[in-house]
Amino acid sequence: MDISKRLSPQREGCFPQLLASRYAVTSEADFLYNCIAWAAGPENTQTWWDPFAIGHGYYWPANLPRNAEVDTFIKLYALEGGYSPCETAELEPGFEKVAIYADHNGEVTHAARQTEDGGWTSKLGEWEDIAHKTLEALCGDEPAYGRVAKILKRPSKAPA
Amino acid sequence: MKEIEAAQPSAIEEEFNSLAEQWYREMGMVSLMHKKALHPAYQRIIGMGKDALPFIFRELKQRRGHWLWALVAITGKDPAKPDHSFAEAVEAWLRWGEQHGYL
Repeated sequence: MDISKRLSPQREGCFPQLLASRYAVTSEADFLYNCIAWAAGPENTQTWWDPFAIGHGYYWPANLPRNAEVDTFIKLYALEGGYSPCETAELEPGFEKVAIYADHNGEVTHAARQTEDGGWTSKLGEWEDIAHKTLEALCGDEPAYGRVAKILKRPSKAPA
Repeated sequence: MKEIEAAQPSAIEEEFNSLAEQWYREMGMVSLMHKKALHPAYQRIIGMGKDALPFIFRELKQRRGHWLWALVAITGKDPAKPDHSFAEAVEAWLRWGEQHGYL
């Protein structure tokens, strides 16, 4: 991980635990896609997945509820990627994982996708993508993303 | 002297700029629109009504960003189509803004 590329101090300061973690910026800031889309796959860089948006230009499956409950996002990743809940965030050969974060009200705030080295990749809202060593790096009170609420996994598409 | 006065932003533009910068700064890391749109600064911009439209379209043209919720709320219109990506929806709104004299 090339840790030479950092967020601005103002942005870094939103995630107190990030300061103590290894991380690196891996993209420019981009309004076109969010963490929910990015967690579902690296190809999703043109769509903002959002159950709440008013007006066109956002994506949400028609048959899913429009709320921020963790169960709704479990259904989202099952529908869009074949993911199902699992117990551990540890790297498991032959599987790809997604982590769902939620705030103290149980509302989803963020999603991250595991990378091949066992680290994680996150799109920070409309800010940059980052690679982060641990899920805890983005935990904490607002404006950080709360706690890890659920881990999902699916068989890898690539050979294990 | 008149040229200097003409170059200065109006009070409403200054207010918009201040609210918009606060909103970008405090909501940039948020990925769900309900939290972005319910931020007090964004709500105050919607509350400015049509007076805010020239500045919203300026932002949309220069920085893109998630202004579509505010545009729908203020105008009651949506020139984008249901299958539009965010980029396509922004382009549709920019065309609408030009046609209606906001750009």
